[in-house]
Amino acid sequence: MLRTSYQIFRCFNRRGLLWKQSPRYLTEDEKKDIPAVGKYRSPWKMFRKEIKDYFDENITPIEPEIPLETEALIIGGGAIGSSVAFWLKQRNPKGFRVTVIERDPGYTQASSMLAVGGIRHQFSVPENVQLSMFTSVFLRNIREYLSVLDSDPPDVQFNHQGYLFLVPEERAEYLSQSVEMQTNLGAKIRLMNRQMLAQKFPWLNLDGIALGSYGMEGEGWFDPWLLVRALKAKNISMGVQYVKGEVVDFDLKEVGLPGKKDLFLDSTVIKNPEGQLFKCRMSYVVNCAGPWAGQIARMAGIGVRKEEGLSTPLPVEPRKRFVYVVHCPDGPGLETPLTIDTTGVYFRREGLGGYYLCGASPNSEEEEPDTSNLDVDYDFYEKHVWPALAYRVPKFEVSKLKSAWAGFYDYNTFDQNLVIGPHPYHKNMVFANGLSGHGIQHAIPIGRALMELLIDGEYKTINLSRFEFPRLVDNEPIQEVAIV
Amino acid sequence: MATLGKCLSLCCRPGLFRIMPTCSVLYRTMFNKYGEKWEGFPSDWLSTLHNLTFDKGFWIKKLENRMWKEKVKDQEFRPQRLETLGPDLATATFIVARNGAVKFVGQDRWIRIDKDGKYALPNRKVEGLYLEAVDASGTEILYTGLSNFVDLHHLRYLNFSNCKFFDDWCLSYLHIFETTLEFLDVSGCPEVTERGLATIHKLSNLKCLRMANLPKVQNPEFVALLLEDIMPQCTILGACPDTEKILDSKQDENKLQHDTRIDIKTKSLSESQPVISQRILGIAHSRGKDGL
Repeated sequence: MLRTSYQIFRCFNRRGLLWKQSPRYLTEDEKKDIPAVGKYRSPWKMFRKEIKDYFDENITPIEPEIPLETEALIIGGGAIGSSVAFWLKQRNPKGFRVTVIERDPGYTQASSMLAVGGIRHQFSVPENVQLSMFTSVFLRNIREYLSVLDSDPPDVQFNHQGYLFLVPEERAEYLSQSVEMQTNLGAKIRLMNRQMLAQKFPWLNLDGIALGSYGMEGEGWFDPWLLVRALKAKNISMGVQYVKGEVVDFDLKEVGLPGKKDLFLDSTVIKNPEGQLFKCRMSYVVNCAGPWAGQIARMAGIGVRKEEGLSTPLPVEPRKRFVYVVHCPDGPGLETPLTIDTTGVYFRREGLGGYYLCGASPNSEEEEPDTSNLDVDYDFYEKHVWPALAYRVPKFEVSKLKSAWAGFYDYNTFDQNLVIGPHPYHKNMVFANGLSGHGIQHAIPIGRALMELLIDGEYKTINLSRFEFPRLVDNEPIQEVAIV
Repeated sequence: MATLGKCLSLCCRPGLFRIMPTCSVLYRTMFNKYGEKWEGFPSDWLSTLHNLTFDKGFWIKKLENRMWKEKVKDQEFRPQRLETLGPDLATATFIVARNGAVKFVGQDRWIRIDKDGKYALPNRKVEGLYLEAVDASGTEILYTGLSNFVDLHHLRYLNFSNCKFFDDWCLSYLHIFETTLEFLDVSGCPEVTERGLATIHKLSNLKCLRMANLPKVQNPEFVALLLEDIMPQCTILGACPDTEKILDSKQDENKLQHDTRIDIKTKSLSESQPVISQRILGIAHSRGKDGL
């Protein structure tokens, strides 16, 4: 085969074509031989290694586990990452290469596993209602979407009990307007006055409550681990590559005319479990890192560098929330919805044995717990959760705290709502972050929206253009009022 | 004429819409794509060339998907049917055409499709004809099929036993009958779990629920107990496997009244109406027996 002198130069040059443009923003000892993307690999060496492996009976992949290039690189393999991978890949399983980078395949800290798993249609922003409604439709037809040949069809153990929001007199007007908006979009929510609440839920203490909104269909809770597992199994069957690694940096390249240089996200630097660094070139990098999305954005220079267009940071940070498991043998029965009190304390039934899950968000910023670990604060239960719960449902006075766990919300400090779409400066970096506490119920339609955006160029089903990054630059919040 | 039609159908591919508009109409009517708008080539059409494969499993799966989609489409809600026939008759026609049986208020006859494919239902609106009972046992009714149950204010009896696609989502849809439904039968449905049965509490007027032979329900007796706690007026049948044998034999129908484990409440009913539970059981046993 003819080779030009240029290509011969390349194969003898260890760093490859990009040796002059060395990776920036890494420490000196990290600027070692990172095998650069586009490096020429000798077919003779590959062939020799293959023969040697065959005779040594050492079946190892020839490609490095971290691919050199891919079309969509998804950072984070939780619910949102797997959902984006699923929708992108199912479009053309053989024609589109998708890689998912997950640093913790056991999902020990992932919000997807530690979520309570509720799904509700009762939001104050219309797009959120539409997103939840599509999740209900998807879970209803989960066999068509996510069944893998030769395996049992997936089942997420959906409980159809609904959500019940209780409001005092001053918020009754707002609630009825919200319910009207939700009903116009097709959700089945019923406004219940005190009489109806007393008749339907006799275990409820109605002091200070004027109105309640009850979801009749499509709302409830499910097991988020089963959903993520089904998504992951389907993805792997379609050919998505799940890679264990951690994104440590982005390789920014200067492009453009002299005097008017722009930065371009050329490739991602990924650390594998042994500590080696690899570069991966991609068409799109999708940030689905959940609570740590802000960190990933800072690696790309968003909010850190002084260039115009990179000055606004991504305001997503982890916030710790606790879930307590309580046993109450004579508690509310089979019909219990996920009830949310006026104080923000919520509880729901778990199984048929008299166990309940409850929790609450802290009322102010000062009370936010420390996010360096996942330790549970039992004082919060004693001071905030149990008094409100026992007041609202007197049966909980005779209850016992059995266990608890903590998880992170990917909290959007700006307006607690979704940030989706490409970054205005780094056009190949796409966000799907900031769903403070309702990530699991919106993961699936967000994946579909991103698929439509990236492949078709526009949102086809649910128009989420309001939630794109420019609203953070222009300082226009879209406040979601019903945050649990 | 037939060959001309075939030639036209071959010519009328979506790409020719712009130059031959009449062909687009022919294509759409022949292939039942009326109402679907051609959006243009998708931007990733080249990638679909990757899908050309001679893998047998792929094509079999594609065929199965297509058959499933046709089934779903067949059971979709059709507004023309509702307009022509009115709500009760539209649902009745829908059910009977798919091997179910229906019964109207004031009549004692079950209407079912016969072996020639004919059924005795009027084909336009009739005043005063209200649907009282629907027996969809053994049919392949889906969630989309349930969207045909619109504006039924007199429906008292629903039988979905042995429906292999009837699952929790379908059960949660039945909340629309909360004021009128009195009897519900979900025996033998392989997809129903206790999470679906927990939605029965929304049917405030329910007097009898039959839940025998549900393979996915772990503790049917326990679930029945919990349901009886929150719905005191409802009788739960079938939770204990022994009672099934009693119900199956028509002669032992009366034994049920004397069985101490089952509590049939007759106190709250007025004298002019017959004993509801007995009448309900009467309905349950008349299905399919006399071919009506």
